Amino acid sequence: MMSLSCLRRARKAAAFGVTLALTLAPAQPAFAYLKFGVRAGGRQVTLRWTQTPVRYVVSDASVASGVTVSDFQSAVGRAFATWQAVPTASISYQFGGLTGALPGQEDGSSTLGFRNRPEMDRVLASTSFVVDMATGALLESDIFFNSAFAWSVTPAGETGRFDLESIALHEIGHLSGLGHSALGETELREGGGRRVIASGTVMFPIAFTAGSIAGRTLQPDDIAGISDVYPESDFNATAGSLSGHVTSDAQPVFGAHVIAFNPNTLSMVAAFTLNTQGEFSIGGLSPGPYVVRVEPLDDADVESFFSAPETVDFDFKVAFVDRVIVVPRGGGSGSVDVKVVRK
Amino acid sequence: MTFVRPAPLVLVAAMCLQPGPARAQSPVPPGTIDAALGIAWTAAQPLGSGDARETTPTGSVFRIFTASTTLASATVVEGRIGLRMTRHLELLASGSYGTPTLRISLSGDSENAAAVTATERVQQFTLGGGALWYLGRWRTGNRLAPFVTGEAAYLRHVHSGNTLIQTGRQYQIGGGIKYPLIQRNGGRLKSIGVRVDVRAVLHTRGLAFDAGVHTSPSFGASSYVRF
Repeated sequence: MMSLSCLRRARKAAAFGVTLALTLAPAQPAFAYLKFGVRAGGRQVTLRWTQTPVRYVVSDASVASGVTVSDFQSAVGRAFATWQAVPTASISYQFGGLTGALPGQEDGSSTLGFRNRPEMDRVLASTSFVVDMATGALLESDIFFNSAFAWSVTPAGETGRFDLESIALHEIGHLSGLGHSALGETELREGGGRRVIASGTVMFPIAFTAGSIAGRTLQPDDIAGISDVYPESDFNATAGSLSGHVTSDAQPVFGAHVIAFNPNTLSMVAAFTLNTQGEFSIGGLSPGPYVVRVEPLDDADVESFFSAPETVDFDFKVAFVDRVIVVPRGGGSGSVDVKVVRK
Repeated sequence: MTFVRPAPLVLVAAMCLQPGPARAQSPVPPGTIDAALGIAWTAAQPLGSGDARETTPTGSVFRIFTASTTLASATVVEGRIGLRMTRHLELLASGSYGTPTLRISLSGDSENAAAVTATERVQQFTLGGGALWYLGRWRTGNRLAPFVTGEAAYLRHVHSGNTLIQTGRQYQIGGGIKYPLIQRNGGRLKSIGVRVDVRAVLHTRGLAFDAGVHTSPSFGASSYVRF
């Protein structure tokens, strides 16, 4: 669980807001499927909605060129429906109508809308939160889409236009309390930024290129994440977890990206080692045998991900664990000790 | 990884070849029971392979690495009870236990991770039944009894620490011979002998990562007593 501190702004003593952005190309913080966390009432709690359905409204104050309000409402409605359809998660959403308000206004309503922000030339969309600091409960979450970019709402996508449904699906993951995932491959672009080669999660922080509609489908990492935050009644009894720690030369490795691969379902779910003991934990896994792969974080800007980037260890080779790890139903794998080798 | 030790098979084969005292053999009557205990060696069974993959912007697949799964060759202990129904037909109840190794070979990593084979020793149980048919016309001499057999069994794989159980079905078809080493005309114990056979083992589910049928050859040797 990571605390978010970016763009913090006080509304009142009991609440604060944070913003997450889906970027066009720059290296951005990459969280493996993670729950956001906040310190509330002196303790660390998972950022989540405590009451569902989550009610949202759609702004008709401003829409992007080529997108009608009806198109916009339909696209985000499909994205909400995709998250709601996850059978192992209990979260639900409810369309509350149109509004003339713009996203980003702390008005008690979760508003999705366009704003024209040409100066944010690498930000396609972003999500902001208002959080009750006494309980850690989400009170409001707004999503803004940058109308400075060209958008598409057609079923097959359009060349040169970003798919609104795909981007909305990612932002609604944030709205629901999920962080970014690092299950993706990128390459550096000439002139800066990164290009996505492939992604294994909707919550990868960098968008597919314009024209792609490949981001409309939730991946196992996304499903594990949303199910972990909002488990259906029997989810915790049926799903399992995999945990352990990563070391090199008997020293803990911080910031290692750990992937659990199920050869039965071919699914990948991942996490990072997030403490000074090099410990990791991956929850929401379907029971079965797994193989574990560990890699340094090399597809994202680490400085914007970890609050103490100098502690992140990149100096080790990608490695597999040489034993099959069994994730039991409703339980943990037992500690998986991963020893990596320096480059 | 478990390899078969050849000694028991060689011993059994030698015992089969050794001629016993010539004695007229009467047909085995219905109601006779054969109880057998022995070992079987089963060759490695490929259980399927698949890629860890991500999606490219065009929707095509980007492979991160490939995982190929095999249940390594193993020797299991097996028991079998047969009830003679007719001169040729015997109904069987059988069970087996072994600890084969699950092997997942990981290769072709997109970031050049060294290829590794991840392993786990699992417990394997089967419990089932079937039929055995004695091939009267293929008999050579009075003692050698060739047969064909078919069995179906419930298959249970138990992972380390009893943390996870996977179930499936196992089928065996094959044939072999029974050879009595000791025969008695009177008394409850009618004979003691050896049985060797060759089978095709087919299994579905269990550790398999698909719903397909996975086949491998198997060789069995056991001792039996006939009541």
